[in-house]
Amino acid sequence: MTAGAGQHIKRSGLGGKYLTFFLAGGEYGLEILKVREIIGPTPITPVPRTPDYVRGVVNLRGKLIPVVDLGKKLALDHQSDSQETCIIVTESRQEHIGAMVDRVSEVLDIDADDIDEAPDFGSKVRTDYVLGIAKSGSRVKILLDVDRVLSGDKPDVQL
Amino acid sequence: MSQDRESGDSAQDVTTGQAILEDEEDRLWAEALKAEEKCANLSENRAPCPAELSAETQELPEEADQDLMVEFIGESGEAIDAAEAALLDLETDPKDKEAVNTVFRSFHTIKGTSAFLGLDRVSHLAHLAENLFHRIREGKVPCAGGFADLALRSVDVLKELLQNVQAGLEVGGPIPLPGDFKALCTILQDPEASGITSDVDESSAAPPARLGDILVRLGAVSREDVEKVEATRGDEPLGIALVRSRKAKASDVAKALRSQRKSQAKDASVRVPTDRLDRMIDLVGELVIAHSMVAQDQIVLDQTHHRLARKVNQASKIVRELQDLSLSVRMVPLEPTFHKLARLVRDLSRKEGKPIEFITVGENTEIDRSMVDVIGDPLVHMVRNACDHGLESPQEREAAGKDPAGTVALSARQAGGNVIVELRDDGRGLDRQKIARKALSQGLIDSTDDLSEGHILELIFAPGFSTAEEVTDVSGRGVGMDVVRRNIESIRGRVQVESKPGRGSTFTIVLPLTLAITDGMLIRVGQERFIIPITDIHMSFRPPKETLSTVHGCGEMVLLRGEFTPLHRLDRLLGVPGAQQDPCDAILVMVGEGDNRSALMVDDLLGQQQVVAKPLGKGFGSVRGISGGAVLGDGRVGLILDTADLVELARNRPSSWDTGRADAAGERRQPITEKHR
Amino acid sequence: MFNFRRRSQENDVSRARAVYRREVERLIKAYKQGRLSERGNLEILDDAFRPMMDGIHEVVEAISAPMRECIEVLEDVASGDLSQRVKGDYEGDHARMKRALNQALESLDQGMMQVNQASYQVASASEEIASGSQSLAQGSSHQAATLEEISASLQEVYSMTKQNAANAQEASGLGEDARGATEKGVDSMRKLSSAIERIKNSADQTSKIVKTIDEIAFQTNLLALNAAVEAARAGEAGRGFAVVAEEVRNLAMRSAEAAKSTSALIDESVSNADDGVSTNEEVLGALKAIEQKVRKVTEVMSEIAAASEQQEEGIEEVNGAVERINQVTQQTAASSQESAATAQQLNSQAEELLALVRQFKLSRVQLNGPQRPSQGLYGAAAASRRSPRTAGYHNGEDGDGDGSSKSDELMTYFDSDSESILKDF
Repeated sequence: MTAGAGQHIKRSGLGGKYLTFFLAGGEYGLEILKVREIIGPTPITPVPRTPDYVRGVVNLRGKLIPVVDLGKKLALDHQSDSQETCIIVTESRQEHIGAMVDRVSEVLDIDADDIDEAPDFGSKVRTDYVLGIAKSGSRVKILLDVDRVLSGDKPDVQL
Repeated sequence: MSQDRESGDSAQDVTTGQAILEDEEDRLWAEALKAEEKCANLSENRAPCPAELSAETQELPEEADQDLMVEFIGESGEAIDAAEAALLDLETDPKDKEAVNTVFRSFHTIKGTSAFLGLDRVSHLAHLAENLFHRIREGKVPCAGGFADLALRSVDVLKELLQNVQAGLEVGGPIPLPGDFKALCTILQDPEASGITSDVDESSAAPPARLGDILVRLGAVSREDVEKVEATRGDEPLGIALVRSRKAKASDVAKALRSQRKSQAKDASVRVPTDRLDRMIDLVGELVIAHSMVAQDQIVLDQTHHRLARKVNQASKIVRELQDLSLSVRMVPLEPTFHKLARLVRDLSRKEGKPIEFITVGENTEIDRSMVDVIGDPLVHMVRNACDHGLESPQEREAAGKDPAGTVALSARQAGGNVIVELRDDGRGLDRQKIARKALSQGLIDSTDDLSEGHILELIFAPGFSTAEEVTDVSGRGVGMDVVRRNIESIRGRVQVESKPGRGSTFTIVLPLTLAITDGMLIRVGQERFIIPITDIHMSFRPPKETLSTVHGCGEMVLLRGEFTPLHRLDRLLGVPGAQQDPCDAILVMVGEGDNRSALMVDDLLGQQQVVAKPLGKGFGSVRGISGGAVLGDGRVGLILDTADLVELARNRPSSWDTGRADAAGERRQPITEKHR
Repeated sequence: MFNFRRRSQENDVSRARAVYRREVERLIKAYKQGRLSERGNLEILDDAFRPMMDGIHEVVEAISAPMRECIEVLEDVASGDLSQRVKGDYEGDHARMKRALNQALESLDQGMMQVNQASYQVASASEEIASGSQSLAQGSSHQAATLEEISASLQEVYSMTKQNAANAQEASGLGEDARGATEKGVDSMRKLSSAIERIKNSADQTSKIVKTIDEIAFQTNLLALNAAVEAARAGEAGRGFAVVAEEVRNLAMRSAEAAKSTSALIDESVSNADDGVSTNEEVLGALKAIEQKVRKVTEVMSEIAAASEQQEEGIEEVNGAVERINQVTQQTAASSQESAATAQQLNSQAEELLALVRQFKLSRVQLNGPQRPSQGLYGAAAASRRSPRTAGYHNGEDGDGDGSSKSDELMTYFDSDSESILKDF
C-alpha cells in the first residue's frame, strides 16, 4: 500500500507496473501490486439491498468475493457485459474485491516521467479516484486508486 | 460476522498434544503477553520475596526469564489439558497405556521445566504426581478409583497453581498456593497411607473400544448382527460391512467411528494453525462441490461408462467421509470451557466467602470451535453474575431457609441442530422492581406500566443496563448482558432468562451446532435462489385464499391456526423481479418467535441442503437481511437470509410498502428511507 | 167404195183377197228380209182387208218400235254415248229387252265411269309418284352428296383422332420420362440437401471448435495476465517470467484474432449453407410439385390416348354406317329415278286411258279430279316421305341419346325409310 504521505511522494513513486484494461471505451490502469488475479466471466449472485454498482458476489475457489461494476462505480457510460468482460480481483487493505471491467489489456511498465497529475477537469472520472494520467504512445491511461475507488467508501447500505 | 470469525481464528486451538506446531496466532499472542509480563516483572523486582517450600506462597524466582515463564505457562497449560483428557480416557479405559504415558509425560514436563525456572512448589507437586504415575505405569497400582481421583486432583491443583503463577506474573507479588496444596502433597507422598484404594466400580469399567461394541451400546445394532457380520466381513472394515449389509445406518457408524477415533486420537493429536484448518475445510467444501459437479456430469450419469461411474461412486464415498471428517474437525467439546468456569466459581467462592457448589453436566457436548470463544466471555460474565449477584450470602440463605451453600449448575446438551447451554442458580432471583427502576432511571423505558414480567426480565439485555450496585473486581466490568446477547446472537444463538424470586434464575443459551454447516432450505424467489436456515423455519405451506387478508395499517396478513400473522413478500424485501405475486400460488414460510412470527412469501422450496456459511466479503460491510453466503452445488453463490432481520426490516417499512408494487431496480439502489421519502 | 167391195166382194173378195194376199206376201217377204218398215198398201186393199192390214201393221209396229228405240240407243252407245237409255214402255219381251239393255248400259256406264275414275286416280297418283320419285331421286342424290361430304369429314376426323391418340401416347411417354427425370432430380436434391446439412454440421462443429479455441485463447490471455501479475509482484526475480508471460499473451491474442477471423468465415459459410439449405428446400418443393403435375399430365395423357382410340373405333364404325347409308342412298336415288320414269309412263298411260274414257259420254262425270293433279301428286309424295320420319323421331327417343345410338337410329331411320319408300313402290 502506498504510504499515506502527500501527493508528491506518491507521484514520484507512481512509476511501475500497471494492469491496464478497457472500460466504456477508455483505458485505465491499476497498480499491479494491488491486483490479486484476473478471472473470466463467472456467475455472479446479486446481493439485494446494495448499491447498483455492486454486481453481487462470486465464488472464488470457495471464497466469497464481492464484485463491483467499475464502469458504474465510476459513473461511466457503460455498455452491457461482453464475452471479454473480466473480473479483476484486487487486494486492498487486505480485502479482496472484484472489479468488473470490459476487457483486460496488458501489464505495462509505466515510467514515472510519463505520469501526469490528474487534471481537475476534463476527466470523466472523479479526481480523487485517479492516481495520475499515464501517457503511453499516443494513448492515455487513467491510473485508478484502488483503495479509493473500491473501498474508499464501503458500499455499506445505510438503512 | 466476519469479525467474529476473525477473533475466533486468532485464539482457539483445535487439539492439543505433544507434537506442538508453532502457530502464528499463538506466537503473536505470546508476544502480546510478553509486553504485559514486562510490566509485571517490574513490580516483581520491586518486591522480591524468598521462596520457601513450607511457605504458604510460591515466590517468583528473581531471575525468572519472562519469555520462558510465559512459554512455560502456555506449555504447561497444554500439558495439563492433555493430562486431563488422558485421565478422562483412563476413566473409560484404565488399561490405556498411552494415556498413562501422556499423563506421566505431562507431569514430567511440568516438573522439569518448573524446576528449571525455579518454581519449586510447582515442581514439587508435579514430581509427586509423576511418581504416582510412575507407579501406575509400572503397573503397581491401577489408574482407577481413588488413584484416578488423586491424579485428577493433582491436575486441578497444578492448574490452579499455574494460573496463580500467571496471575502473579501479571500483577506481581507472591503467588498464593491453592488451599488443597499441602494436603494433596501429603497424600501423594503415600497415597495408600491416606486410605487411597483402587476400588473400582466394575460396572462402569471396561468401556467399549471396539466399533461393534460402541454400536451395540448406542443401540444402533444388535450384538448378534455384529457377530454375524464380523464372521463374514473378511478384509472389509466392520463399519462398512455393517452398512453394506444394512445392519446399521451409516450415520450411526460414523458417530461410533468418531467416538472411537476420538478416544484413539486424543493421544496423537497435532496442533494446526486455525487458518490452515479453515482453508482445509473450505477446500473440502469446494472438493465436495467440484466432485458433485463431476458426479452429475452427463458422461458419468450416462449408463455406458460403468467403470467410470463406479470410480466416481467410490470417490463420492470418500469425499462424503472427508466432508464429515472435516466438519467434525471443527467440533470441540465444551469441556475446557466448563473447566475454566469451574475454576472461576471456586475462585469466586473463596474470594467472597460463599460456599458454592458448581455442577456441570454434559461437558462433552461438542460445538463449533469458533463458537467456543464467542460464548466463553458471555459465560464467564453470566457465571460471575450468578455467583456475585445471583447467590445470596450464606447468612441470607440460612435466613431464607436455604442451604448455605449455593448451587450453580451449568449444563450443555445437544438438541436437534442446536446446543443448549443452561446456567442455573438457586439464588435470590432477579429483582424485577430493581430492574424496572434502573431501566427507568437510565431512560431505557418511559414507564413500567404494561410491562409484563417477561419484558422486565428482557430489559437486562438492553444496551447500557447494569444493576450491580458497585463495580466489584469480579463483575460489573462494564460488560453488560447486552454484550452477552450480542455475542450470542452473532453466532446465530439466542439467550433467554427465567427467574423466580427467592428461587433463582436460569439463563438458557441456544446455539447452532456448528457455524460451518448450516442446514438450509433452498428457496426460489423470481429467478434468484436463497437459503433460509432450517432452524428458522417453523413450517411452510400454501395458503388457502380465504386465510389471506389485508389489515389497514398492518399490511397483509395470513390467518394461521386462529392467529393473524403478518405476511411479507420476499421479492419486495429483497428487490427481486419476476416473482410470483399471488400468495395462493406461492409458498409461505413461517419464521420468527412470538411477536415476531411472520410468514415470508417465496416462490418455491427447492429442497434442503447443508451449506457452508461464509461471510459475504468485507467489501460489503453488513447487508441487512443477509447473514452470509454459501457455495451451492452448481458452484454459484447462494445468499443466506437473516430472517429475523428481514422481519424487522419489513416491520419498519411504511405499511404502504406492502401494498405497493416492488420496483426491483429502484429498490436495489436506494435505501428504503429514501425510497419512500 | 163399198159397193165395189161388194160386187167385187165375190170377185172383189177374191181379187181383194188376192191383193191382200200379194200384199201380205210381199210384206212377209220384206219382213223376212228385215224390212220392217214396209207397210201394206192400204189403198189397194179393200176395206175388208184393211183392218187386217192395219192389224198386220200394228203388229209389225209393236215389234219394230222397241227395236227402233233399241237401235237408236245402241247406235248412241256405238257413238260413245253411254248415257242413253231405252225409255219406251214396253211389255213382255220388249220390256225384258229394254230392261236388259238398260241394265247392260247401266253396267257399262258404271264400269266406264269407274274406269274413268280409276284412270283419273291412276293418272294423278302416277303423277304424284313421278314427282315424288323425282324429288326423292333428287333428295337421294343430295343426300348421297352430303354423305360423301360426311364420309370425307369423318375420314378427316378419323385421321385426326388417330393422330391425337398417337400424340397422346407420345405425350404420355414423354410425361413418364419427365417424371422419371423429376424423381431423379428430387433424389439428387435430397442428396444435395443432406450434403449441405453435413457441411453445415461440420461448419457448426468447426465453429464450436473455433469458439473453444477462442475461449482457450481468452483463458490463456487471462493466464498470461495473471502470470504477468505474479511476475510483477515477484519484482526483479519475475522479470524473465514476465517476458515469457508477455510472449504467451501475444500468442493468445494472435490465436484469438485468428479464431475470430476463422469464426467470421465459418459464420459466413454457415449462413451460406443455411441459404443453400433453404434454396435447396425450395427447389425440392418445386421439383416435387413438378413431379406431381407431370404425373397428373401423364395420367391425363393416357386417358386421352385411350379415349382417342375409342373415338377412332367409334369413327370407324360411323364411317361404315355412313358408307352403308351411302349405298342405300345411291340405290334409293336410282330406284327413285326408275320409279319416276315408271310413274311417268304410268301417268301417260293413265292419261291415255283417260282420253279413251273421255270419248264415252257417261251418265256422271268425275269433275274435280284432273284439275290439280300435280299438286296432289306432290302433296301425297311429300306426305308419304314425311310421315315415317316423324314417326321415327317419335318412336326412337325420349330426349337426346348418345351419338352412336342416334346414328344407329339415324341408320334404322334411313333403313326403314328407304325400305318404306321401296315398299311404297
